Amino acid sequence: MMRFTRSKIIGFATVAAAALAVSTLPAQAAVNETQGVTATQITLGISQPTNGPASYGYNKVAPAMDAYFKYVNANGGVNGRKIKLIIKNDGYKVTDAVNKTVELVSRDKVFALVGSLGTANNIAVSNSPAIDLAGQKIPSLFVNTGFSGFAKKSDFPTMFPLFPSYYMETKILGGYIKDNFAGKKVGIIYQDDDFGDDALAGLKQAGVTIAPGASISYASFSQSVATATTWVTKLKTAGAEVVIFYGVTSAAAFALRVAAGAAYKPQWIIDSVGGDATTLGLLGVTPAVLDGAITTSFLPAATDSADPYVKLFKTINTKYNVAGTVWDNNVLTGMNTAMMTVAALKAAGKNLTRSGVIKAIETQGKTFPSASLAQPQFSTTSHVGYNGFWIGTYDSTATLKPEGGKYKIYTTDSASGDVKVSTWKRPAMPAKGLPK
Amino acid sequence: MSTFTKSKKRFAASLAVVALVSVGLTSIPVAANAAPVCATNPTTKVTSCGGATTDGAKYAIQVPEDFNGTLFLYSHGYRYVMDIPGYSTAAVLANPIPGPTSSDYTDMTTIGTLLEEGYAVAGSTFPVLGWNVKEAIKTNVELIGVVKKKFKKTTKVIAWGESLGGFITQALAEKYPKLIDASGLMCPALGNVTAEFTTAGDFLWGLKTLFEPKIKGRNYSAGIPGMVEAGTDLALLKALADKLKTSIGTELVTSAPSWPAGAPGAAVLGAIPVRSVLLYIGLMAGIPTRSAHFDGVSGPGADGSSTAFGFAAVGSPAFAILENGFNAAGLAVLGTYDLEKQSGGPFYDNTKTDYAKRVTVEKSVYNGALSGSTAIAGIQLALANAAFAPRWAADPLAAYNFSKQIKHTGKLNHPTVTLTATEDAIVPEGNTQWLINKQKTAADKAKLLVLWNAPADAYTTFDATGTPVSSTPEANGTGHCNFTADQYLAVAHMLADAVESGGKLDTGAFRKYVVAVTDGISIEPRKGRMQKFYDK
Repeated sequence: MMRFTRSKIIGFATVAAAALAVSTLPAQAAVNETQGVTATQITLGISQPTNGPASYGYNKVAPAMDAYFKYVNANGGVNGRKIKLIIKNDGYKVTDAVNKTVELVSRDKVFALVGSLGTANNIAVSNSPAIDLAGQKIPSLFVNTGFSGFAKKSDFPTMFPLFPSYYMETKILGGYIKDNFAGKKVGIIYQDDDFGDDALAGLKQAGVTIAPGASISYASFSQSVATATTWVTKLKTAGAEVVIFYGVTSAAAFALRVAAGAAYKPQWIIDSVGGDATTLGLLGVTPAVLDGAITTSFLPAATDSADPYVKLFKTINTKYNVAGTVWDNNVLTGMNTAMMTVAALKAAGKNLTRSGVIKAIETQGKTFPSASLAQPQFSTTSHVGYNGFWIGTYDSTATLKPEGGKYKIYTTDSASGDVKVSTWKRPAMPAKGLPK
Repeated sequence: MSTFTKSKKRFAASLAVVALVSVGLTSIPVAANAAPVCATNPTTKVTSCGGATTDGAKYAIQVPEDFNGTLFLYSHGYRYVMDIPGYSTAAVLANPIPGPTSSDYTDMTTIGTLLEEGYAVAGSTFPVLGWNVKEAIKTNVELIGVVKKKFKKTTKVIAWGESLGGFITQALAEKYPKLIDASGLMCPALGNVTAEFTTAGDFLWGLKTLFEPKIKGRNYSAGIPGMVEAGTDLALLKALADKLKTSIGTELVTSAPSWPAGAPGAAVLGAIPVRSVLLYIGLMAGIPTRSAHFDGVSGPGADGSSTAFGFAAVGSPAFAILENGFNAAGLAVLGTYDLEKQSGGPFYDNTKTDYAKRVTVEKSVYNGALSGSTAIAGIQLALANAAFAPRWAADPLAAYNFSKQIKHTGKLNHPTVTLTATEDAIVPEGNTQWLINKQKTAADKAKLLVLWNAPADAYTTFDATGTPVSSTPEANGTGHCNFTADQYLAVAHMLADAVESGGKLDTGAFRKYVVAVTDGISIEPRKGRMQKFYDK
């Protein structure tokens, strides 16, 4: 029981002295532009699942980011400061994502969030008054989600998505389907939330018609062998010859495995989120099942050892990542996100502030070096990141091969803009892969 | 699943114990206005006085031998206008409490500590039960005079109160700024009474529409018939809570919808799990998705297992709405009965409410638990269908009368400290945020200190069979006015320091010390969730 004698309250000198040993508490609602920045260090935080059923593949992103930061630290850091990344496990649960982000911001005093995963989780975090992302001007850099809504600066003023949107992806894929599978019955399995809604909107914009009875939605967290069995039954009944899968990897794995077991072999077109071969392999999808499936990417193929970024990142993975981490698209994605982060922090200058880093991305983000084959689109009016994908097909070894043998980048927007073949050429990687 | 534990007795009706409602108004004995009758305890040297104000409110005053001149004037929370045997009785209601106590009114630690430190304490029953702001202000003003007359050493008055008592305290401070030197608002209702009863009405309407058509929910008859109707509603809600608990538990095992028999929603929403529909009703009413025993992150089985994840992601939010919502529903019924009586008829109106708009963010955040966008659209369609879901229209005169209940301006005339649980389902944290938002200038902001009381990240426990346990005490930071004595004392000490320091709240070492030594409170730069319909 806390008891205060009058002498303690009135003659406060001794209490005050004791209080100096207690952690410092901030003034209420004060914006701290330089929280997490010292003369020697920048502290960043990420909340993502590191275990649990939703963690497959995603759990490699944050360690890969950390590996790249360690590489940068070993090479002088960012404007003389080392980067410290604090990784929190939210298990992909919205309540935990908020809890863990509160911890990152209030207790760990991070400067910025980076690479936070998931559409629902990022919406929850952005709308949490306990975090007050916008009010506190906390940058949320390069979130791991392609929900098109996050690019709207007015709604998410401190958030920067990096991935091309789900809307863009399906609009591009829709055009591809119309060009290559005309006359075929098209079906779709999609996650029945903002993620899937974005995809449906893109497909609609592309003018793809789904065959009657072949549009199947599933609620997030409901995927299982049992539900996948009903999906496959419906698709077979509807006679779907081309099936677009738009969901997370765990659901894609159920769909592919159950379909294979039922000897149902449509032309699978899998979204970039659910189509990572390594993760699908961990979830029991064999290369034979994946053979011929189409998917997209905005980064070079993880197997493209000729790509300078892939080459460098693989060496960083070996030297700086958790021992034994298998190189794959998730590691590539994490390191690319980290490189963009370093570019943003460097561009913000020596006098690093939250507003400064936001301004740096808005004004210089288009030219930040990264492995992406599509150009970042950041501007003072829009927070759209990359705007395009290339399309590839898995071969019998689960290696993703670009259509026509080389990367052909299709670009578009999250509205009614045309799909175009990009003429943008990715600049040469900066020396040692370190943004200037 | 175990029966949900009771929320704070002085406010929330725990439906688990509300089986019968006696018919008969509780009455507080009216005593003639007279000088307080006092006696001094020879051991503690504390002088205790009793008496009644001119309006008949009984009061209690306690003054220590070494009285330092500062009085803590306490306003209690909402007390029901009828007896609920075994739960809330006239015997308890008739006893004035001079400060915060434990939920069973027996733990006087906070009061005892203040007396030991040299402060006087006082409080009354107020002359009427229910929502009684106008009457309570009058009683408090008179009681201050009684104390000052009897104990001439009194120089400072700190008004503090819980829940409705917080509302009364702020109203008193706004109306009589010269009588008060500082204010403590614990789990306070603030602004106006509308927000709480909009939440309550929305939830009751949703339950009636989709699950239990026999619920009356509003427009209670006058007098004893109305009390019987309200009591019947409480019994229906208790039975419904049990049915929904069973439904959700079954659904988590079978993954198939399990609607209670007779639920109107089954006809149109039968393919959607009950857990999702209940969660939707809770979200549209603004009820928190973390409750006394359900944290939204814990699940049975090994950490990271599918079972643990599934419960946390889709089960826990629904159970939290059930626990929070049904505690609030008890107050909703009895409070509605009370305020309809005061207003002259039904005041709640949802004829123009756009429930879909209410969940613009929540439908994304809880999409999986709500069973996806298609299910959400189905629920919204059903609730927007006037034939299936007829809205409740207010009686215009009653609505007008209701709108004339005393409101706050939010102006702070002196140091004010609030103590606010972030997961309070009965008086949501938006009440406190409303007060924060009212402070526009640096000078105004300096008068307010908000002590946030947030629960631990994880606190749900499970028995050996994996069933969540809900018989344990409420997690601190959840529930209504579920504070520890240390937390009450943190408020008291900040206020006492302010009145003894020229009327300024400390912003330095003392504040740091108080926060650091008090478990469960923080002054982080956070905001509270505003109720979307607040102050409208």
